[in-house]
Amino acid sequence: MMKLGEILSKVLGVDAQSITDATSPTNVESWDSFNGLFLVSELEKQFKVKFTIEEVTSVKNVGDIKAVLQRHGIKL
Amino acid sequence: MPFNDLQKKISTLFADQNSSVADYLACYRDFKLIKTSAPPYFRKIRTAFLGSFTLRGLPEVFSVKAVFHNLLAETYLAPYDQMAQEIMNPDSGLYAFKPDLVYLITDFSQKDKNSQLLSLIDKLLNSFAGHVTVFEDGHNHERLSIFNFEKWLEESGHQKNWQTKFKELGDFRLAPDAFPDLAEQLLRFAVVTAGNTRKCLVLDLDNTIWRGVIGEDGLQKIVPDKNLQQRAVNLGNRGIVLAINSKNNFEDAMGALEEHPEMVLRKNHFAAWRINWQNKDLNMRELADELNLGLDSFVFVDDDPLQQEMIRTIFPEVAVVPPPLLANYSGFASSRVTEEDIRRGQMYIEERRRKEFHSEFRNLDDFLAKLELEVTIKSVDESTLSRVSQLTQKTNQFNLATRRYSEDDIKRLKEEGWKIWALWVRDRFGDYGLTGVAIVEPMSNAWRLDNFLLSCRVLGRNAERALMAHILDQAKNEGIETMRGEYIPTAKNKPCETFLPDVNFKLVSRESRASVYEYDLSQGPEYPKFIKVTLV
Repeated sequence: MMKLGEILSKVLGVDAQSITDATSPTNVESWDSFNGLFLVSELEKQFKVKFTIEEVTSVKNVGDIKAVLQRHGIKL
Repeated sequence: MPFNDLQKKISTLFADQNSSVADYLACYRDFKLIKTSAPPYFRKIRTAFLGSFTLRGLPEVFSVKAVFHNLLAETYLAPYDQMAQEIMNPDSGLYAFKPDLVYLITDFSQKDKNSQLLSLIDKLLNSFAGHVTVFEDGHNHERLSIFNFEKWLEESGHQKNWQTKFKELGDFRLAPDAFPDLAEQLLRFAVVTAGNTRKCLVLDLDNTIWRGVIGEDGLQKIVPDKNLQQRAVNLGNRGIVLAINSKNNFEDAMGALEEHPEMVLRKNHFAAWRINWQNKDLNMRELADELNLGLDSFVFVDDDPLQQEMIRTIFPEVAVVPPPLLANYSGFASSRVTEEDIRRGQMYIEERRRKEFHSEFRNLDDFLAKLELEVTIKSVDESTLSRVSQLTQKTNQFNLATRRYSEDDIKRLKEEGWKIWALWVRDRFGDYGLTGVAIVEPMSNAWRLDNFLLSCRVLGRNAERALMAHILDQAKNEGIETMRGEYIPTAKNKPCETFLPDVNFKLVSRESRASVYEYDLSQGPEYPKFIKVTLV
């Protein structure tokens, strides 16, 4: 299972080291709505989970992603 | 990144059934930076995507997958749900892009919207000269292809990606997860449009075309993969050249291919093979040389990840396809198979059999003995008049006197008592038909060979010696003492310069214009060995 940092790096094209809980569409240019959805697709595939529409729209930053994953029982 | 590293990366993605749309999109970032350094064997294609729902990401994935097919794709994505505008407006981005191929990607469940689709398709076809692929029915048109999207969803297992939450999130009616497999299917049309269809399928044997290892498990235990083999046979029937690259004892492997009762592929499906213990990359190169085909037209199917990796690394132009993925691989796509394609595939196999036959023999006698040559000799008559005359007009190389005869000439000569024979030749490789003629003028105590000729198709088999022996025999039976013949040199008939001396004629005189020979009929004529002669 790929770690979250690697997944974010792959989808957004950013350096894994630079990612923090505050990383979000407001401070990463490549995190537009499309990449956001590709990110959802990749997270679902790699962590073998399915997010609801509400969960997807509620995420504002990497910290929110971690919270959602943890609610699905994923240990990060 | 060097371009061949990218090729290797993409080839690896293709082979990995767990690769995701994000993997392809990440690759696309690399591709954009280095696409201008693609090697010269890549073909370019300009593809446009017009969708009635969100397709963002699909053209990017398509470009990456295209590299696996040695295609450099330039892509255009029309603005969201503006299919009609892009097609109707002559100044649209679509036409400015000058596409070679346009994909019209529609939602088959939206029946009302699709009623205008047919007229849009017509408008598009009339507005540019390229090809169109639609996802639903269209009229018959030579530049229009139909991709049955609904059927593909069912059969590919991607129904689960249709009309999911991604539709609500961004009108991705087809979830991005399905993009890589969809792109591979769409590339079928691009391969055809670009004329980049692969020509040669190279197959491993153990655990590829059969389950098991022949050298260890033996003939009884291996289990042929009939689906894969039938697929290969079907490709062969369409003109794709089939070859083997296997690490095995030749006898074990060929034995299995020839003797296993459940085998669908047989020896004679293959145009070439390298079955040995040397490295497979060396085998690949030798196969390419033998078949005289570029490696960029080769597909390599092998179950062993180590072999896959090696070929991928050394020959980035070869498509490395794991056996389970051959069914969905688009590299062999073709629009229609022509007689020429089928014939070409057959020619490679026949060439291999011919060479094999020749190389088995240590000397000419050996070769002639196994040739199973049969000749038929008959006096010319009404039914053969035309062909005999034609042969005298057309034959240049094995033609002793290069005298040409019309049909009337031959009729007249026959009436005057001349003897004219025709020769038919057949061997184990084929029936060559009427391919030899001898024309003799009987005189009081000698016969004069006015001309003697043989089609170049049947040279090298001693068929001419059989015909000559027959003529000499006939002369001898009629009590004639001497047969005369001439060799009149031309620019083209050097191949028969020594024929008369070779069959024991003696040189009588030589001038620049002709050499005259005589045969003493007190010596028996010699029929050549190994030839069955039928007189009619």
